[in-house]
Amino acid sequence: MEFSTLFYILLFMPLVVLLSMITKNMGIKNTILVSSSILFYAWGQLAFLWMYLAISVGTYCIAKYLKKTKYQTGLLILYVAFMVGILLYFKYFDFALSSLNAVLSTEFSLLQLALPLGISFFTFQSLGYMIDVYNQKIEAEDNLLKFMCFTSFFPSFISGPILRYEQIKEQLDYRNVSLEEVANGFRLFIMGLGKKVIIANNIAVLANYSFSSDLTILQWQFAWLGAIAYMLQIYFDFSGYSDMAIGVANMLGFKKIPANFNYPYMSVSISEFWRRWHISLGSWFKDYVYIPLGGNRVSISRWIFNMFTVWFLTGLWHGASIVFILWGLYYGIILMLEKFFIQRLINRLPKLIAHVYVLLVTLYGWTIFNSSSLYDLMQYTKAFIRSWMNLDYTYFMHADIVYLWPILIGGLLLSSNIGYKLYKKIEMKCGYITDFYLVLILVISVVLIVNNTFSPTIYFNF
Amino acid sequence: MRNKLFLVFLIALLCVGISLFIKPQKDVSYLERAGLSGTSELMGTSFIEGSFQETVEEILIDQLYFKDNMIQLYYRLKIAASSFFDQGYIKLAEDVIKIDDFYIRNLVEENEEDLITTANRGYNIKLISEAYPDVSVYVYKPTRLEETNLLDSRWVYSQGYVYDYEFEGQLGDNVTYRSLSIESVEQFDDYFYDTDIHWTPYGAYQGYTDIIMMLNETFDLGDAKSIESEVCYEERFYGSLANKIGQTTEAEAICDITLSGIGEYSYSENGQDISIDAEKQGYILNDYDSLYSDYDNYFGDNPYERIFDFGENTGVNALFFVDSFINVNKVWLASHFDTTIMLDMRTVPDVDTFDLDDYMGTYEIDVIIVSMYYENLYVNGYNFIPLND
Repeated sequence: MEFSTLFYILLFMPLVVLLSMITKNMGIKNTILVSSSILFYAWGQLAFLWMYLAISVGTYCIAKYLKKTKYQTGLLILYVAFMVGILLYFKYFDFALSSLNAVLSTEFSLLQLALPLGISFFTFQSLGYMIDVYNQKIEAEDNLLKFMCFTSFFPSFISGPILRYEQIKEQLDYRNVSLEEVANGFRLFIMGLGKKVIIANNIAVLANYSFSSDLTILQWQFAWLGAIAYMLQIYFDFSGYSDMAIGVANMLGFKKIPANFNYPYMSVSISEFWRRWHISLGSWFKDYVYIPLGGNRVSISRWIFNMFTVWFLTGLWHGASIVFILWGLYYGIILMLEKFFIQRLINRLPKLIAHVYVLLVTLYGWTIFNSSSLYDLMQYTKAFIRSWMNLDYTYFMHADIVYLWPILIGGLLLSSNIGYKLYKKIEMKCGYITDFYLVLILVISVVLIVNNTFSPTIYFNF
Repeated sequence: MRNKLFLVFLIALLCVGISLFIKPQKDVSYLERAGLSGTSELMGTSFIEGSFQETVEEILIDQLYFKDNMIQLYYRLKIAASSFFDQGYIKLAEDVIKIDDFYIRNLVEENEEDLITTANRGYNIKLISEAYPDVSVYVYKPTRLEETNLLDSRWVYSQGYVYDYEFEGQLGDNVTYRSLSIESVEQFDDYFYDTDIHWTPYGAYQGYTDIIMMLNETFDLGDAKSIESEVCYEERFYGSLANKIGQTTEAEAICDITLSGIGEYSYSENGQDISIDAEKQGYILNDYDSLYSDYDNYFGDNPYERIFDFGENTGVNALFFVDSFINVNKVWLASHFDTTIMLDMRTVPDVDTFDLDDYMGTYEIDVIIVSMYYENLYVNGYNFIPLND
C-alpha cells in the first residue's frame, strides 16, 4: 500500500490511528498494529506475505534459542547467511547471472523474479535485531505479538527508516499517545505527503525530461537542470516518505523513532552529508559492518578496505546494477579523499564554498545513481559541458517544463532549513496559520493524487 | 484547541472515506466524458490478484466530493504557474498547448517512423489513381495551426512542412492536392474552434468552397452555394482539447450555417435510411442544455458509410474518404453530385471485407476525394484505404 493513495489517507491511516487511540489494552493495541501491518502489506503484494510472516516467526524463535545454545556464533552466521541469501536471491540473482552471461558469453536464463516490497529494509531490520541479541545489546523478545509489531511495523515496512528494536521496545510494553502527539504526528505526515506529492512527483517531470531524452544531443542547460531536479526529487521523495512514516508512527504512540534526514544539502562536507542523509541506513552499516570490520582503529590499508567494503555494500544495497556499485564506490573515494587530503582545506573554506562543493559532489553522485547504464552516465557527463558556450537560457522556458519553475524554486528553498525555521516562527506566533497551511497542503496533495492517480515512491525498489 | 481541531480533521477524513462507499454512486463524469467506478464494480474483483485494491482506489477517486472541481483547480494552478513565466503559450497536458485563448495539439515534430507512414499514405493514393485511371483523384486537407509555422515568433516551432513535402512527393501527377490556406493566426481563429481540433462552420464553408473550386477545374459542378442564414449559440461549446484539461476555459460560441439551394435528397448511414429531417436535426443536435456538449453532440458522430442521393444533379458521382471534419459540410458537398459516398475508414467494421472495386463499380464513381486533417491523413493508426489486390 502506498502512503500517497486515497485509501491510505481517507480510510486506512485514520482508522488505525483512531482505533489505536481508543484502545487501552496493550494486547489489543498490538494486535491492531500487527493486523493493520499485515493488511497494509497484503494490500500491496499479497504473494510474499507468507514469506515475511514465516521469516518473522523464524527470527523470533532463533533469537530466543540464541541465548540458550552454546553454538551462538554458528547460529548467527547461519541466520545472517540465510537472510543475506534471501536478499541475494530476490534482488541480485538475475544481476549476477546477466553479468556472468556478459563476461563469459554464457546463456543462463534469468529468473525474472518479482521483488518483494521492502525486502531490503526488512532483512536489514531483522539482521540488526539478531546481531543485537547476539551482542547482548538487547534481550530477545519473549512475546511473539510484540516481536511481530517490530518486524511488520507498517509505517516503516516498505521504505524505512530501518528501525532498531530498542527504538520501539518500550512502546510495545506501554504506549499512551496524547492529543498533541497525534496532532503533531498528523502534521508531520501532511508535510511528508506534500514533499512527496507536490514537490517530488512534479520535479520528477523535470528530471525525466532530461534523463529520458537523447543524451547524445542533450544541451548543458538541460543536463544541469535535470541533475538538479533529480537531486531534489530523490530528497523530497525519500525524506517525504520518511516523514510520513515517522508521523504515523508518532500518531500510534511510537515516539523514539529518530529523523532519517536532517537537511543533508546543508552539509559542508561529504562525511557530514552522509550523517544527514538516510541516517538509519548509514548508522546500520556503521554499527553492523564498519565497526565489526574494525572501523578506523586499524592499519591504513585495512581501513581503506573497510571503507570500500561499506561503500560497495551501500551501493549494492540500493540496487542490482553496476551504476549503483559505482555510486557507492564514488562516495568511498570522495570520503577517503576528504579524510586524507581535503578535510583541512574544507574546514578553512568559507561555508558557502564548502556548500557548493558538497552540492556539486552530490549532484554528480545522483547523476551516477539515476543513470541506467555506464554508457548513459558517460553521455550525461559529456552533456554537462556540451556546447557550454551556448548561453541561450530560453531552453528553461520550454512549455513542457515552465510551469514547474515555482515548484523547483520552492524545492530549493525547502531543501534548506529556511522553510522549517519560518514555519516554526509563524507557528509560535499563530499556530492556526500553519495549521491552515497544512490543511491546504493536504487538499493540494489530494488534488494532485486525483489528477495523477498515484506514482510509486522511488525507494519502493530498494 | 488547535490539536483538537486537527483530531476532528482526522476523524472527518475517515468519515469522508466511508461516506464515499455508502453515498449514491455517480455513474458518469460529464467532465471526463467517461464512466466512473462505483461500489457495484467491486463484485467479481479479487484481493489475491489485486483487482479489488485497484477498484477500491478508483472508487475513492471517482466518487470523491468535488472531484471535477479538483481537476479544474489543478489546471488553474498549472496555468497560473505557467503564466508566472509567461511565454505566450502554455503546455497543459501531454498533447494540449494553450496559446492566448485557443488550444492546439502538440506541434508537429519530425519523426522517421511517421515520415514513412506519411509517404506510404501518399503512395497509397497514387496507387488508387493508377488503379482507376478514368477517375479523378483529389486530396484536400484542412490545415491546423500546429502544422504551420505561424507561431515561430513565439518559440512554437512546427515541422509540419516536412510531412507535407513527403506526402505530396508521393502522390504523382494524376492526383490534385490542396489544403486550406491559413495566412495568419487570426484567420485560423475564424476557421477553427478555440477549444477543439475541428473547424467551425466558417472554416468548413471555406473548405467546401475550396473543394468545389478545385473540382470545377475538371467538372462542372456549379458554383459553391452561398450562405443563406447563420445561427450562433453563445457559450454552448466545450471542445475536446479543453476537456482534456478539465474545461477551465470559458465556453465558446457555436454557430451553424444554412446554404441556399441545397435541394431534396435521400440519405443513409451504415446501410440504414435516415429521414432528411432527422439528418437536418443531426448536425445541430439537441444537446444545448448539457454543460459539456462536444463536437459530436452538435454535428453528429462518425459512421463508417454515408450515402447521399440527390437524384439527377450534375451527372457526377463522388466517393469521399473522410474523417470527422466532414461532419459539418458533408451535405453541402454532396449537393453538387448525383450520388455521394462518404467513407470513414477509421470506423470500418471489418476491413478485410472492404472492397473498393465494389464501391467504384456499383456507384459508377467519377471522382475520389480524400479529405482529412493531417493526423488522420498522415499518421493516425488505422487501415487507410485498402486497395484490391
